[in-house]
Parts: sequence; structure tokens; C-alpha cells
Amino acid sequence: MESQTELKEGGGLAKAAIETVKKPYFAVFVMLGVVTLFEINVPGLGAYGIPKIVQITMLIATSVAKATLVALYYMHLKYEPLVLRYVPLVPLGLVAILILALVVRK
Amino acid sequence: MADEHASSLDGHAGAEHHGSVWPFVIALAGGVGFAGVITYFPLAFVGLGLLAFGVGGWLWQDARGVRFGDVTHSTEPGMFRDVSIRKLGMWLFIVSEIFFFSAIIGNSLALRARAEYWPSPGVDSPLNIPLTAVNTFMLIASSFTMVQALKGIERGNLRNFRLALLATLILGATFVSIQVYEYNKLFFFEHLTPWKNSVAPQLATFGTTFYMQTGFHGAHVTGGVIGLAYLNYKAWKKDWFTPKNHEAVELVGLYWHFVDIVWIFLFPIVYLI
Amino acid sequence: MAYGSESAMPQEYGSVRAFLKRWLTTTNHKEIGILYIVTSFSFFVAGGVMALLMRTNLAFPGASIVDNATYNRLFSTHGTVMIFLFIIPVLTGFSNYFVPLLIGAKDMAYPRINALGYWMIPPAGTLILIGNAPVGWTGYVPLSIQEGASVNFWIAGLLIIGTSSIIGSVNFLVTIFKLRAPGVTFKNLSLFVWSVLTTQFMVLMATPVLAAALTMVLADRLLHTCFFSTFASCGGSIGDPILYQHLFWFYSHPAVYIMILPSMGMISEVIPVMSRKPIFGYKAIAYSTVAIGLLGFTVWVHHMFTTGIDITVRIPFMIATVTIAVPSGVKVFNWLATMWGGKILLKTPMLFTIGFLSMFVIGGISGVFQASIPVDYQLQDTYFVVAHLHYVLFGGSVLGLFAGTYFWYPRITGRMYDEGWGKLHFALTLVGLNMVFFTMHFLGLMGMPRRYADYSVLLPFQPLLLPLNQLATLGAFILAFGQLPFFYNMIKSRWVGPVVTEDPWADRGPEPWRSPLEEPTAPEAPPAEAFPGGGNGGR
Repeated sequence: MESQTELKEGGGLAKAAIETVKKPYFAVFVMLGVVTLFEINVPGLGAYGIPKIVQITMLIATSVAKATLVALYYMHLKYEPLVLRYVPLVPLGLVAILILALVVRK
Repeated sequence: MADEHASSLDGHAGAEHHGSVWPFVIALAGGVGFAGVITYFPLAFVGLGLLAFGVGGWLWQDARGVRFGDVTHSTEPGMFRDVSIRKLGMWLFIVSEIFFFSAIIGNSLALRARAEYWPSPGVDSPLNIPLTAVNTFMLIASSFTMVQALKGIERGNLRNFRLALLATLILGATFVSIQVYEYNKLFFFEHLTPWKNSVAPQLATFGTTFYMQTGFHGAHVTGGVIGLAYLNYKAWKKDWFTPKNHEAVELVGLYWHFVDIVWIFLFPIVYLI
Repeated sequence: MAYGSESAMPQEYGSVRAFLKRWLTTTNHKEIGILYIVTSFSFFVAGGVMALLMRTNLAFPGASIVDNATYNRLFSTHGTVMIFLFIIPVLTGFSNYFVPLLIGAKDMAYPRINALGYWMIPPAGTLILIGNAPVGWTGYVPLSIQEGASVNFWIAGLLIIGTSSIIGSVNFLVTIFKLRAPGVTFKNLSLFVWSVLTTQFMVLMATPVLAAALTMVLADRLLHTCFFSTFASCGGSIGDPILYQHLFWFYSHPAVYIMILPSMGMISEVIPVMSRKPIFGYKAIAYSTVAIGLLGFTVWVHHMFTTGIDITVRIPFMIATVTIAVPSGVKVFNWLATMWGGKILLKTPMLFTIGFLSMFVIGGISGVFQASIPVDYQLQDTYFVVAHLHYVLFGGSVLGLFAGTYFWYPRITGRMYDEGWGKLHFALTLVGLNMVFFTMHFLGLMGMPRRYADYSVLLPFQPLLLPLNQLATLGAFILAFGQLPFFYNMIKSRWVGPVVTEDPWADRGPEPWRSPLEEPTAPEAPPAEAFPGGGNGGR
């Protein structure tokens, strides 16, 4: 992990260098699976007195974590130039405003 | 002056600068198909056929290696110097898709926030969580096999590349099949329709948002499956993809992972909350 | 290579077959640009005829020449045609022609997708004109769910146009980011390209939301789903019409900037050349363009102030709306400062530019009035709004577009337009547009609602409505007939105009200022053979 960060900050990463970086595809796969296993059990937490709002917060957190993992590792944003990360990231602010305005009632 | 222009016309028709009639055909197909959807439905199939013809012609030009425009001149490196033209295009397309899905998901969340009744998962929801959980794993696994395919071709391991690509296709197709099965079950046996029905009228808005969200996601998965089928076909041809030249794999992969991310959000929103 | 000789318009084609082959199969950005421009101007004529019919009807109380139902169709299709089939595609056409030239690229990044984007316009336009849906250009629910089958055509047309816009925006963005010639950076990028960059980002992010909204309306209509429907058919859980307005304006407010920013970009190209001075405040204009692009996404609720949305939601949107006047003002002052002390060449492009500046300021300021929530309550859905939007769209976008059209006409056709007809066009346009649209401010303040075919019930209370409406109608006719010199000039000059061999806008005085198109901005210009038919990529 350390060496990757160094390479990334080194700016324009040569193609050859990218290919030698070990990409933790399998580890990400396992994490995605484990988090999903947790997720499908969240609705059952109501029986233990955990309120809906906490369940929703948990699910938002797990979803964002999973999406980040896929975007960073499977979509290779971690190994791409930093500027490419802003391409999907910046619009998310606008998306948040839109969804907020829609959901707020009256 | 006139001579100059005449020669420019020759230039367009000649080998240097290619034309393509397929954009015209595809656009016409769009018009005919849409007109069919809203007027006389069989016309939509004419549009679909025309679309297949147009896309086929487009891909046939690709397969012959016809090049359009000329992007070989040297360019200012700029901020996206390490991102290829096609990859940047795919990412920007994904941005537009983010907005499309946000509008649909946001609208559904808003309807839910305004609804007086909403079925709760595990209590009175007609949705089958275990079945969809299996489907979710299927999609995650297909994302994993997709990156394995990319890794395979990057390292020149054709066998791994082809197997992983085939696995991705099968997993994707299975996802769609299970969704069709689920729709069938919900629609005919659980009385969950996109509109209000007399048996379960309280589920009208829930049905509307359920079918819209999962339906558009399913349509995108289907599109991805078609793309994967095309990739698989090309992968079995000798020397089509090489360790140096396999960008199509990466681009279809980007789209595939994006569809996975949409499901990562849809699954909790539709099934678990 | 001589100026204008890189024109993509040949003088003769040889045969009908060669003509069709050339225009049906082209993937060249210049030729696609010309297709866009010509198609859009024909829709401009269609939309203009509809406007004339409406104005004639309003010259007399009662349904004088069209019945009320037809009137509803007229104003709806007029709006849709002018916005989606004229202003947006015509500006896309100019962007298509000039963005690659101004950044020194040989073509767009995806030439075939570029052609696909153009070819979606004619089927979409056909569907919209066939449908002629009477639901306003906004298509608010529940009306657009209740109305007859014509709305399906309207939605289908808009969905096709939306697809065309999205693929076009990806193409423009990739072209601008990836295909700039060496030396063309964001520090010296043409201001027109800056505006196209911002515009296309807005298209990319806003259009899918409109597509989603229209898809849901179509589902409500065809499948009787419950997204926006308030009818009994949706039973206990009802859809919410306000949501449609949110989604619609999340696209349609940015669309206002999608329509004005490229015109502003053209103005930024015309002013320095015609004032013989470098642009004043390059960075300020470039950054204010981006600022308008970002702020433009945060103001859409100002179209919905009277829908009963909570005041805590409305106030931030009011503040954002007022704030957007700041970057717009920055632009106006920079343009004025560029003209200040310059050796102004009062040819037709510059006349239209000055017209743009004054009309845009009027339209912009009446916009700030309405941004204030209490004032908006008074003015909502009156002719004041109609006056405002026409000052911005006609006085702004279209005058800027005319400035760019005259300015670039010799480059596109290789021939010069007729200056006399151009000046006549300007004079009639300016007089006509102020006569029809300035009058509408008064009509609006007197309480005349927009979209009404008949105002006879209001006449006993406001007798002035009749003469003012007649004045506006007279202005509309002057405006409409004022466009005839334009079309005559453009069509005639393309065959008989004097052939242009050098930059007609170049300063040949003692201290020459050369146009940026003539000036090499790139140390390494692309090779001449990249441009079939000659030319050197604007270098």
C-alpha cells in the first residue's frame, strides 16, 4: 500500500509501473461479500430494538463504502491520475442537492 | 476556387476521409422505434430491426478498421494526459448515467417520504430478500471476474482472460434471468404491478418505484451483457485482444462496474429499508 | 492558405447522388456544423410563424384568427421548437464548426457519434411538430398526463433530442480536453471554447435528469404508473406533481445557461476583433463562465416559488439566483472595458454585439427583480416573465448568435455577406424586438397572464391592454419581417457574395490588431493536409 501511494503521488504514472502494482482484487471481492452479508441482516435488527433511522444510516454507510471500493479498485480510480477521480466526484455534490430538494417535503 | 472544392469532395469520398451512413440509419431507427412505442406498437420492432441493422453496420466499419477523423496529430498533454480519449469518454458517459439514476432514485425516495403506507422488509414486503441477496452476490462476483479478465489480458494470459470473460457473461446473464423470474413471480403471484391493481391497491406507488428502479438497472445490465457477449466473441478470435491492445475490455469493464455500483445503492434502497 | 478557402461548402456537387452521399454520410465536423445550422434556422422560421399567429390573435380580444385550443398548441410548440430545435442545436452547430478549429484539432474526438447527434434532430423535430402538444414547453403534470396522444409525440421527440445532446456533450468535452494542439492550454484557450466547455458540462449533467422525468411521465401515461399522478387511479398512495417540476427545472434552468453561454462566447470573440483591442480580463471572463455554470445548477427552485415549498428551501435558492448576476455582471463589464478606447469597427457583427449587450442587461436585470420571492408572487405567470425570458433568449442568445453568424459567415462560406442588408436586419430586429418585448413588461405589470388566448374579460378593468397588445403585435411583425433580409442575405451571398481571400476583419491600419483566428496560438500548427479543401485549422 505504501509504495502505491508513493507512485501515485509521483504524478504521471508510467503504464509499465501500473502493471507491476499489485492490485488487491480478491481482497476487495471478499470485503464486498462480507459487507453484503452484513447488509442483508440489517432489516432483522429491528427485532433487537435498533430503530429504523440507525438501520438506514448503517446501510448508507455500507453502500458508500462498497461503491468506493468498486470505484477505487475495480474501476481503477486508485491507479488513475488524480484528476479523473474528480470527474465522477464533483457531480455528486449536485446530485446531493437534487435528491435533498426532492425528498424535503413541502 | 471551384477546383479546390471539387478536389475536396473527392477527398471525402476517397480513402483518406471516410463517411458513414450508419449514424443516419441509427437516428432514423430511433425515430421510427419511438414513433412505434407511442402509436402502433409493431412499428417499434421495425425500429428495433433498423437499429440492429445500423449498429451492425457501425460495428462492421469498426471491424474493417475504418478510421474516422484524424486524431493522430500531436496534442497538448493537458490534465488528462494519462487518460485515453475513449476512457475519458466512458467516464463522462458514466457521469451522465449517475444523473439519470439519481433522478429516478431521488424521485422514488421522495415518493416514499410522502407515502402514507410503505411495506417493510421482512414484515409485509412482497420482495424476496434471500433470492435477491444471491443475485447481489452474482453481480459482485461478475465484477470480480471482470477485473480478472482485464488482469489476464494485461499479463498476456489468454486462457484466464477468456475464462474470466465467459464467467462474467454467465454471471451477468444469470442476474438478468433471476430478475426476470422475480418479476414474473411478483407480477403474477404477489400482485405487485407498476400500476394500481384491485387486489393490492396499497402497493401502487411501491410497485411503480420498484419496477422503475430495478427495471432501468436491469436494462443497463442487459446492455452490459450484450457488450460482454460481443467481447467474448472477439476474445475467441486470434490476436484480437493483446496485452498492448485491449482497451475495449477495460471500457466495458468500467461500464459493468458502474452498473454494479448502481445495484450497490439500489439493493438497500429497494429491498432492505 | 487563403482565408475562407477552407470553407466546407463546395460550389457544385456534380450530381444529386454526390450531393446526397456527401451530406448523408459526412463525419466531418464542419459539414455536420453546417447541417446543424441550416436545420436549426429552418426550425427558427417554423417557430417564428407560430409566434406571429399568436401575436395576430392577441391583437384583438377574443379568438380572432385561431381558436383557443389551437392557441394552446401554438405557444407550446413555439417554446419547444425555439428552445430545443433552434437555439440549442444552432449553437451546437457553431460549436461543432469552430471548437476543433479554435483548439487546433483536426476533427471532433468521435466523428461518427457527432454525425449521430445531428441526425437525431430531424426525427425529433418531426415528432414534436406532428404532436404539437398543448401542454406548454414545460409539460407540467398533471396536465401532461391527462392530455391526449400528442404529448407522447412531444415526449418522444424530447427524449431523442436529449440523447443527441448527451452524446454530443461527451464528444465536445473529450475533444476539448484531449485534442488541443500543442500550446493550446487553459491559459490561452479561446473564450468561445471556454463557454462551450462549461455549456457541455451542464448538458452532460442536466439532460439525463430531464430524460428521467419525461420517461416517468411517459410511464404514467402509457402504463398508468404513479410517479406524478394525482388521480384516483393511483389510490391511497399518490404521486406528487411537484417532483416533476423539480426534475424539469433541474434541467431547464441550466438549459437557460446552455442557451446563453455559447452566445456569450461568440461575443467574447467578436468584441476584441471589432474593437481592435485584446480582450480585457480574459481570466475573469473565463472563470465567470465556469461560475455561471456551477451556480446555474443551484437556482432552479426560483421557477417554483409559488408552489408552496418551504421558505427555508426557497431562501437559499433566492440568494443563489441573485448571486448569479455577479458573474454575469463581471462579463458585461469586461466586454465594455474591452470596447473602451478601442477603434470600434461598426460592421454588422459589432452592431449585433452592442445590441446583445444592451438587451442582455435589460433581460438580466428584470431577472434579478423576479428572483425576489415577494416580487415573484406578483409577477409569476404574467407577461413580465415572458418579456424577461424573451429579452434573455432573443435579445441575448439570438442577437449573440446573429453577431457570430455574420462574424463567421466569410469563414464558413468563403464569401462575404452584404453589409447593407445586414444593417437593415439589425435595425429592424432591434426596433421590432423592443417593441414587442418591452411592451410585455407593462402588460405583465397590468396583470395580463401568459399563455392566455383571450384577454377580453380583463379589458373592462384595464382598457390599456388592447392598445399595448396591438403595439406588441406590430412589433412582432416588424421583428418577423426584419428576419427576411437576414435569410435573403445569407442565401444570396453564399452564391454571389464577393469571394473572401483574406480576413475581412483584420486591421490594416498603422497599428494592426489581428484576429485571434489569424494569430497562431500554437507553436506547432497542425499540418495543412489535415483539412480537406485547404485551410490550416484557423492558424
